Amino acid sequence: MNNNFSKKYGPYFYILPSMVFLSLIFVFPMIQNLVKSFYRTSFDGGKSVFYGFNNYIFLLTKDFLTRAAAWHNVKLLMLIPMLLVLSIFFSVILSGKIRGAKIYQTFMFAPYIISIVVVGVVFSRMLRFDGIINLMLTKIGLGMLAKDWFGRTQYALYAIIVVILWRELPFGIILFSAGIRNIDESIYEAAKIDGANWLQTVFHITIPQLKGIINFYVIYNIMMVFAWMFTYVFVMTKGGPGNSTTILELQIYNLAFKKYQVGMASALSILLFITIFIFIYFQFRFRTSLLEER
Amino acid sequence: MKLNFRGIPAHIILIIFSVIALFPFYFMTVTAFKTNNEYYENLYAPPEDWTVENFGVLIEKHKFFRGFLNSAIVTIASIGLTIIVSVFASYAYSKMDFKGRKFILSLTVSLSSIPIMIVIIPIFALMSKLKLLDTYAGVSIVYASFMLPFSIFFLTGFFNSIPNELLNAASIDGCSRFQTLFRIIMPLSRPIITALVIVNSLWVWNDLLIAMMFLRLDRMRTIAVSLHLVGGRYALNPVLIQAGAFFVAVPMVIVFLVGQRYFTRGLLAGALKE
Amino acid sequence: MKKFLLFFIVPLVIVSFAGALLFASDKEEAEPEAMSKEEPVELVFWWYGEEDAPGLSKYIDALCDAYTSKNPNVTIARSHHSAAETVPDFMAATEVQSGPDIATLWGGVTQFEQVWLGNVAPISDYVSDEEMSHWTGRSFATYDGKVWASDMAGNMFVMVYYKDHFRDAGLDPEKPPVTWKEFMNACEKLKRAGHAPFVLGFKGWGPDAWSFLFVYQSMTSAELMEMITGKSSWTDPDAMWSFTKAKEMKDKGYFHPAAASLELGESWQEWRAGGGTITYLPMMSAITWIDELGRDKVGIMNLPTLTNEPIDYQVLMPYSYFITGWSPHKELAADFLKFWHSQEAMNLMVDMLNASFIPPDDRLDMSRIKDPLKKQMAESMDAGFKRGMWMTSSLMPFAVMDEGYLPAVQLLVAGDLTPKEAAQMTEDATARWREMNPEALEKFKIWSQGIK
Repeated sequence: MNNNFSKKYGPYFYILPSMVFLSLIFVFPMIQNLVKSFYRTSFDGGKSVFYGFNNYIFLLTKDFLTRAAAWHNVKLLMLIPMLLVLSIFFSVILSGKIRGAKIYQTFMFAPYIISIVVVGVVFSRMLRFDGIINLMLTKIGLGMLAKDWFGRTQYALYAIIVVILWRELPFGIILFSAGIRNIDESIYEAAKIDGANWLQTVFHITIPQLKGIINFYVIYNIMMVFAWMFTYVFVMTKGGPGNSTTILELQIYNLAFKKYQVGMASALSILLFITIFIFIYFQFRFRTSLLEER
Repeated sequence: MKLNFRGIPAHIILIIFSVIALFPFYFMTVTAFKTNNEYYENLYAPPEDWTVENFGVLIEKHKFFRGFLNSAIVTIASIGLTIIVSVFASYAYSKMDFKGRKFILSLTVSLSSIPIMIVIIPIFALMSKLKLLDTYAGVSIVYASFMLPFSIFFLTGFFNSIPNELLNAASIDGCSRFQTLFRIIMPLSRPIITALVIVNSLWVWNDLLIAMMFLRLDRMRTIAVSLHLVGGRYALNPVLIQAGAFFVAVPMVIVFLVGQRYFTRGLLAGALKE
Repeated sequence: MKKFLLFFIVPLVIVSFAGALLFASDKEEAEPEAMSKEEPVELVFWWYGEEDAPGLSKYIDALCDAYTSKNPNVTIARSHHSAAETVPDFMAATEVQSGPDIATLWGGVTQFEQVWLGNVAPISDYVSDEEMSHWTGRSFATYDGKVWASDMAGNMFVMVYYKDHFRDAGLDPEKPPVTWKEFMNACEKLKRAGHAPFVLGFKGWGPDAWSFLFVYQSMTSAELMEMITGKSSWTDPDAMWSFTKAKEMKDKGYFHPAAASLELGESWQEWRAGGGTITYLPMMSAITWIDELGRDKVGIMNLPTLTNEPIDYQVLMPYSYFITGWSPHKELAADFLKFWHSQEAMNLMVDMLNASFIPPDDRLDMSRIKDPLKKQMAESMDAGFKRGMWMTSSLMPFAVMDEGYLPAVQLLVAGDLTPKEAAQMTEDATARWREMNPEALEKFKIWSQGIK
């Protein structure tokens, strides 16, 4: 009897501590936000006025800034294929029996150690119109590629994407190098006997074998793109020039802390959460491997 | 001929990218040892006269040692808490069968997509009611909770790759579930936990928003906050800022170099493999 | 049974926390304590400014110690906040209605929004009118007949230039331009001599400084506020002046070539490195850098004027300190704020901060300031306080800046908008703010009546 009980309900005790923390930090505040999203704060003494769905309606139909921000977040999703391709590329090179692979790997991890604030300062310096990058481009005869990266609306978001790529790549490289090293050597031997060339082994053996990690990495990056980009944007452009790099997080921050529209900030965060939940839900639904036991 | 792309072209690509990866690090290091005047005269070259004056200012005026100590306490406490809680949870999600497992896990994972700034004020109110503001315990709980979704996600993937046969064998030997966790799972996952510790501590160490709001007294400031206060609104003392950044980065470089052996092997050990 | 457990445990956790919280919030907030000279009291004091004025923390310590030595039962717990965090931290405090007794926010609309939200107690209820009449910043902090803040000092920008650049361009380094016409001529000559005439960044919140500099050329504080309340429009020719000027200077190439990709701080560093001739610096950096570079190398000029009358004042952003609405020690807090205006405290500030920071009070003994450079700055700051010249971002709600003025100027400098379109963009943002904040608009109108 006792044994049966523990078998049935034991697992819940294992997850209970995490549930406590998560309710404390996420669930409870999100419930509060859900309530707040139906109110607006009145400047007449700070009363909360019931506002129905008006916050949502405003955000979804009228607020051009939120629309722009959402679009920029969608554009940031292009980071995911870039990160995937580059990190697989580098980890494939690094795990070939290249001399000094370990040293290269250590060097390539450097970006991940520096705080984003410092990264922002240094890259702002390098990417400015008379900065070292444009100087080098001009020197090697690519002067037409020297643009005002942070000064023009067309380029600012891409400049930010490059910086994010630079800083987030190491995590992917380490992840995939480890994965590749774990692939059974005999599979490669078999391919060798079949006469497969290098490219074929990469596409037919390495990448399929990495499916689990790829899956993990994609989900991780989706969350990163929607919820962990604030510091990059805040440090480098604060949404400018001309709102061309505003993202949803910045929008939430400005609404909550600068414009005192807490109700609207809450509504936006609820919308954001629902969007990401859908993303992740589909990831889990169609690629259940991560959750399934082998 | 396992992956034979390793000739000169590979080296060229790797060298170029290493230089790109290291450049800001280099910039930070050389600037940290310059004087203000030298910074404005030569920006990228190493200083002609190396000076450690900046570090003296940081330690004396900006109390960087105190900040270092606070950061260390908060980082260790919160990481410890995260690891304990997430190991238990991931063990259950990965190796036990119970009703609602998938649903709770996907909900948990998507929680990490909630932007910090929108939940931070309710959390602040909560911590204030629990009288945990300006305490190491309070801020560690907040940090740990923010790291949990990712950590659980990460560890669950790894635990999935541990063959069930191992667990069954242990169970036949008379190990309870709890004992299995400590006798079988933990020894196997030491590397992956090192990896998790490094990734998480990098985040806690460099975080500003939470540290700033939950540790408000000057003597409780973390080192990242001290650095932020050095920089100020317009970041007009670049030399001091880069020296501070260098100061902040050094402990993490050490943590990384020490943990690196484990770190690479940690994910190597079959993590997240299908 | 299993199902039951699933649907039981998860909500149970949530509900128990919600319950714990509700229970906690039912408890009474701390009862206001009766003012008593004997009982030990702790005042919580949030301050900001070390990053603008290095050394301020020492002054704050000395100030608090001086007060404690006069009132042994009072201890003052200090907490230093950075520019980026003052607002979020204060909002967190308002959420729980506890925390600081004396707090700080940017003077002007940022602080008044808190007044209107009911989180601030008026100082004038606790301090006599006679005492208040000496506070030169009070007109700005007055709303509905009451004074809501005391200014510790003002933040101010000064225009500086390199004298040797002037020489290169054949300009008299001792006679900087006074009128706009002369200013533009000087820029032209500097450009020909190969110097970037004017360095000011437009990235991030850069256009902020541009607005301090130039919006007031064509209007007063009161007129600026009329545009916020909708009495007049940004597209009026006078109001458009700061946009047309930005366009003109850009087209003529008077800005630094990287102006659009520099933040304010970066552009000032560029000036410090010699990358341009004229810039508009925060006072503290100006003093430090002028001393580093050598006083004979750098000149200080007044803002160019549209009329023939030279401009001998500066626009300011006050460091506003106020008593929080929830403070149980309001009288004591007011007494502490009043103490800042005592002769002892004012002299302390002038001496300790080397006169790089001065209190806005007409009883200040200017003769204590010996250094001519600092005296010049102190006087123009004093004139700014007396004339009531406030930085535009103290008068414009954040939404107007964030959705209107900042992006409009950035796009203008990038060449994507004409001045007319930029003005229209700002006008639209202002109209949206009015529509979304009807209560704030009413209060803003009442406040604007007191501003010259």
